[in-house]
Amino acid sequence: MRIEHLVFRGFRNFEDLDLSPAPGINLVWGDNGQGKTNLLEGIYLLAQLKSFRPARQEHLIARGAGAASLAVRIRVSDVQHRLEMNLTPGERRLRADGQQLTATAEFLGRLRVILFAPEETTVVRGAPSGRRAMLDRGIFLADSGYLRRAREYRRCLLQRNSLLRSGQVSAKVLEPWTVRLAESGAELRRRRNHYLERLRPLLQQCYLEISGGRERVDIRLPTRGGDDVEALLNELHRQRDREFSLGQTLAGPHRDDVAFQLDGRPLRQYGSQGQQRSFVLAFKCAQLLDFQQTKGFLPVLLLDDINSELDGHRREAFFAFLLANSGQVFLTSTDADTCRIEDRQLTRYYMHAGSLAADHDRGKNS
Amino acid sequence: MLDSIPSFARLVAELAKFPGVGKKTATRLAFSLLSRPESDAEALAGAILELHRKIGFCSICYHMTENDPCPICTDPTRDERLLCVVEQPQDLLAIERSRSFRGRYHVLQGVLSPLDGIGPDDLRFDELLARLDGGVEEVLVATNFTVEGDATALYVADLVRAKGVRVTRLAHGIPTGSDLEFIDDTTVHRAVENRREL
Ligand SMILES: [Zn+2]
Repeated sequence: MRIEHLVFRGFRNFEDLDLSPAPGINLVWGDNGQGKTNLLEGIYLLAQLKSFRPARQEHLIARGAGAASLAVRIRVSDVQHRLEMNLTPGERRLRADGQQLTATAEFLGRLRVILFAPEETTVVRGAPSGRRAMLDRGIFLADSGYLRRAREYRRCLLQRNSLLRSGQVSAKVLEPWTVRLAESGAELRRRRNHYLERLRPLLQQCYLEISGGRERVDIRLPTRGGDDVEALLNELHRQRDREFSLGQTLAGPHRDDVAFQLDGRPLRQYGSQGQQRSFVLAFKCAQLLDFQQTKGFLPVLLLDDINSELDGHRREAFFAFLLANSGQVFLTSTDADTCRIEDRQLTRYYMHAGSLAADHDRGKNS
Repeated sequence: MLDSIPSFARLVAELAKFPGVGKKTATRLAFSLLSRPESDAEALAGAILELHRKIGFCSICYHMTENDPCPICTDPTRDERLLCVVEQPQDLLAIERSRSFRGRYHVLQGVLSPLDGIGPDDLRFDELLARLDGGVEEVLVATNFTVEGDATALYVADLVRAKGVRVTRLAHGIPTGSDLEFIDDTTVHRAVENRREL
């Protein structure tokens, strides 16, 4: 899958950005604050319908512009599709191939992207919710039924928590919600484990290629008593008194921690900064390979500010991986010569104040 | 522009309150009413008023009806041993259209939803339990396949089983005339699980 043409108008600092990117690696370079990350954000927004940065919809619309419009023409195998998003304060309109869509689920999944942003490395040391979200984003990409199930679980969780907060309910009234939640929750756990089993060998292979180290990495999802309905049901029953006093559900996939491991030990404690970065990057690369293996085509890869993330040796190894395995890539950097990739394999663009200039001349000279 | 014709604006505003009717559709309906003879408008107004004057709920099954008890509850050919529990009158009508069920019904008039403040006391569970003493042998739970519908089904099942009555749930199926490849995986999964002998 690749983006053949994109037009962003009134979005962030883009007045009228018109780009026909190359099918391979696109390097967007320039000083900070010129709009490099905004470009990735716009592409990500069309794929996921939300930003990877905390942003209210009003902030996505350029100052002075009443509305923002984002449009891309993509090619999947031999078929072209057109995706459009129009944002006005308080309203969002989506069109696919000229047709207005009311359900967001119909729009999601048409453009497939994998993002790596520098902030994501902090997920390794941060709260469990960050690691869960990172894993779930991977599964949304690979498993088309997962989003609906995750929403169903979320709905059931909200219902059950609302009941727990209301205080004086009998066990008889709570029980149907407990059973329904356990069914939904066990299903999510099984799907997460199923995905991890598939991803594990790819993760280990990618990590070795990128880090050059000999450590063995792993991702595990430890759950008490396994991932079946019975186990979660027992756990929920065991916690019932505490659940009533705290007014919330205390077990299930919304609380499970995803364990990132290095040689069998927690990565957060025993991994160096470099190892943690390599791990997250290897996780994304593994998703890319898994996607190609299961769907038969490659998603678009978005890499924000990659040279702040990897030291020289790892960076070279990573670019070698990209050249060998990736399809279309959008890469941002403050440095035009961030990677030693031959000019014929790389298209450079210079971003300044929300405008892009193709950068062929510079490429020839260097 | 509409504000200069208050009676027209009032009708548009009233029509726009209905589900699926936006201001645009409401305006189109209002123009259409205006272009027809006055007798049409009177007939419509009469029908709407009659709805509330004549229709109430059956005191046995809580389906909507003009006569209490409703024709289904008084139909002697219906099988009294079979009771089908639904959320709303429209669900009952859907099952009736299928002509697949010859028992009686019980309309809960809603579904459990703590987020909306709806608990067991707000639905017709006590009335359901009272009916079980009258020779009911099987309760078919036909609530919707949503999180709330499922939880309500589990709650009903518990109540009914405690009375020693058999409980069944509507099966998930694959719609006829559809290709397997376009059916979502949950539906296929359930259909495989609930497969039958040929
Ligand atoms: Zn009746």
